[in-house]
Amino acid sequence: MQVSQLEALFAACRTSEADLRRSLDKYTVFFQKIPALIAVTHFHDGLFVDVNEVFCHETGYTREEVIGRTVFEMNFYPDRYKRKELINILLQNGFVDNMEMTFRIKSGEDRIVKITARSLLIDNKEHLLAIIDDVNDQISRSAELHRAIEEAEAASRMKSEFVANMSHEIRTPMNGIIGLTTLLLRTELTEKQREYGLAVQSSARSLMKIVNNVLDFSKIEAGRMDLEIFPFDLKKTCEEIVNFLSFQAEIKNIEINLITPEDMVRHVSGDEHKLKQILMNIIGNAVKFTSEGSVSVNLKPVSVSGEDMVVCFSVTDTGTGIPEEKKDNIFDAFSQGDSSTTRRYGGTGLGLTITKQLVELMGGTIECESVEGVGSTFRFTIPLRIDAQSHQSQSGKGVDDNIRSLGCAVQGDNFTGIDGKAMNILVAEDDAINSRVIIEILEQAGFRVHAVGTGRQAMAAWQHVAFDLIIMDVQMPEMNGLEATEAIRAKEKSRTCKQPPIPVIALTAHANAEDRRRCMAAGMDAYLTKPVVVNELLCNIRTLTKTPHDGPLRKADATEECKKVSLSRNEFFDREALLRRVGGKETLVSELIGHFLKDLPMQIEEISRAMTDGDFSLLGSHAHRLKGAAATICANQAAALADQIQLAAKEENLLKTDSLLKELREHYAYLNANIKEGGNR
Amino acid sequence: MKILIVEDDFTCRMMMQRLLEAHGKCDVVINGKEAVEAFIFGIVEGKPYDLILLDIMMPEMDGQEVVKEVRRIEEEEWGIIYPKGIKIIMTTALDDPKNVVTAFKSLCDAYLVKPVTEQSLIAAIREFFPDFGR
Repeated sequence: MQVSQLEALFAACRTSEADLRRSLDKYTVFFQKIPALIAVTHFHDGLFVDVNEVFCHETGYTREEVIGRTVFEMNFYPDRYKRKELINILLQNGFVDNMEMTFRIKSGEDRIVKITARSLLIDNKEHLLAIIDDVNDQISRSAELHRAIEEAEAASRMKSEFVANMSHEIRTPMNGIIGLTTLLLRTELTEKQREYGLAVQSSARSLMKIVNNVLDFSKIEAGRMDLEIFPFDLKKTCEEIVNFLSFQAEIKNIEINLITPEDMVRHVSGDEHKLKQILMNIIGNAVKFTSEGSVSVNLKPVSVSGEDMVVCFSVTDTGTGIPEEKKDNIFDAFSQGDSSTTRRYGGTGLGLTITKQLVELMGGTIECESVEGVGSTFRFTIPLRIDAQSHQSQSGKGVDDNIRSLGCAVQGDNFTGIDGKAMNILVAEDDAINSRVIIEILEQAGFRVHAVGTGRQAMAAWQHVAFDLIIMDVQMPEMNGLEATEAIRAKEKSRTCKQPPIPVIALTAHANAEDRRRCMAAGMDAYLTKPVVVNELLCNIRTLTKTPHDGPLRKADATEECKKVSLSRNEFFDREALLRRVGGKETLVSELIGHFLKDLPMQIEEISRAMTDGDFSLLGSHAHRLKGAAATICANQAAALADQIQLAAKEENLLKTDSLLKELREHYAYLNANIKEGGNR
Repeated sequence: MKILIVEDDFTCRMMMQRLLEAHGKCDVVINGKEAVEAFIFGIVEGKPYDLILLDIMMPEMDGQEVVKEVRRIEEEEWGIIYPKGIKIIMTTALDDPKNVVTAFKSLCDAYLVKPVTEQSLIAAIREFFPDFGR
């Protein structure tokens, strides 16, 4: 090789070495100047190989302090296992992106960072390249924002709470004003005084209405309004509201219609009170803003799945409508059409806001369509639960118990009518097995039984056959028991012949106060819960048929009646029974007897005085009072005498009353001597 | 728990009061007119009654009228709609259909036929106040 060639080669080498150095310098500058924290460490032991300027700047270390030492020596990770975790993820996935960890810098401060890491081979050795993103500021900024929002919300809640408390406080003196005005109006007043009193009452009522609205509003805002879920009859609830508002509609000469689908489920669970509030407001508004035409209320189940149902209510009126520019904010607080609307129609402007909040609280939505001068339609949905008392599940349990109860002997009562013929009973029950059980019980007891499966059939049977009593299931297809009883009672009233109303015993699946009230309101005389218990059923029949004036009994009373029968009625005073009655309180027994004996002569005197005055109605009520007292302390003979006096007073039979009163006086002397002795025992 | 016992007979009044006074504050009035006034005063004083035990046959306004009047006042003056509002249990010796149906139609909550016992009284009250006397 020639010298010139060698020189050329050396020159080339020099050039490429210079090139290499230049390029290395260039990348070193890149590495150092990149505006992110970058560190390169040994993969496994965490020995720092290189870090960039930004890293040094942000952590406070110099390159010399870092390089050659491990992350653990430097105590970079307050949580040592965090790096192990990072390595594991890296091994598993081949990458780590934005892993959040805490990083301790030279000053000892902990910073929250997000690390993105890759493994790479340098000189055949595994290294870890980490890009560290300091998110401390970001996090603290969002935390600050969060706190600010929370504070604002808390302030708003506090204000609502304050308003709620305030409204509540206002109600206390309002109760005073309203209550005392009511009391005042119950006294004798001059016409003028009455007029002023009524004016105070009317103003107080308006104020109360406003306060109640504000209270509701702020309660919802403060998140203090809870849902109260109970079973109710959806159709009936809507009818109640429409009926209530139909008075106002009638005065304004507008029509109000309620349309519900025939087959709609009626028995549902939900917050009836709040639904009423919503309906009252929306329908009330429709009536208020309509001066001619009609208001129609439509109910439609829009979705039914299992036990859940969503019902859509729409209320359409032919009223003033809502101006285009106001439509968007009709549901906002304190906004009415305009201030002149407030003057013309009154109100707080909270009604629709509360309505919307209530609808949403119940899980529904509300919207409004309106054309000014033509009318408005408010549509809202409410999710409800279908009352889960399907017949299958009920009868499944009921039958077992019924059959078991059949096992107990039917006591030897002879169930015949006054004329000695077997009594005819109509049983209306749609469940075949339940029906069978009841028929069995009744036939064993000597009744003649006719069974039907629907309310309509019961009506038809009643019209064609003279029954002595009806046992009516409340839930039946094709006209339920309540409707059938109402229909029968209506027919009875319109009948020309004056036959006594037929006793009807209701059979209900469950009997809460509301159910009972419904049965009674429909004209039923007694009720029994399923499964039917033999003795209860027979007791009720006996009470309702043998002694017609003894009429309706609550379940508990029927049982009581059964017990009473088994007691010896001849005992003039049953101390043991009284002791049981007051739960074994001996001293109370003595006290009660003492007071009764002290009070008795006075009562006898009052009866005697009423008799001398010939005031039979007063005589009757005195006797009734004595009967109650005597029965209460189990002075059976005295109670019986008082009962007879009451009857004699009703008949205005002076002679009989007089002799009974004598008997009562003698009995008192006897009681006074004997009970006192018993009391001392 | 605040209870108003409305009963014109001394013995019955005393028995009910003694049976219930351990479980709640019992006030006693002896006719319907006083009952309505006591009911209103309870609200005025900010300590309304929770329960009325109401006899039917009484001088000066009977129990049936009291139920109607109390429900009317609740609704008209305070916007309280049944079944919210005070609980009313009729306690009476009258058990004829007309009285029972009338009472329920006027929105009483329960109907107990006298003579009442400690057990029947507490059971009836527990239907509305499950913790009563426990």
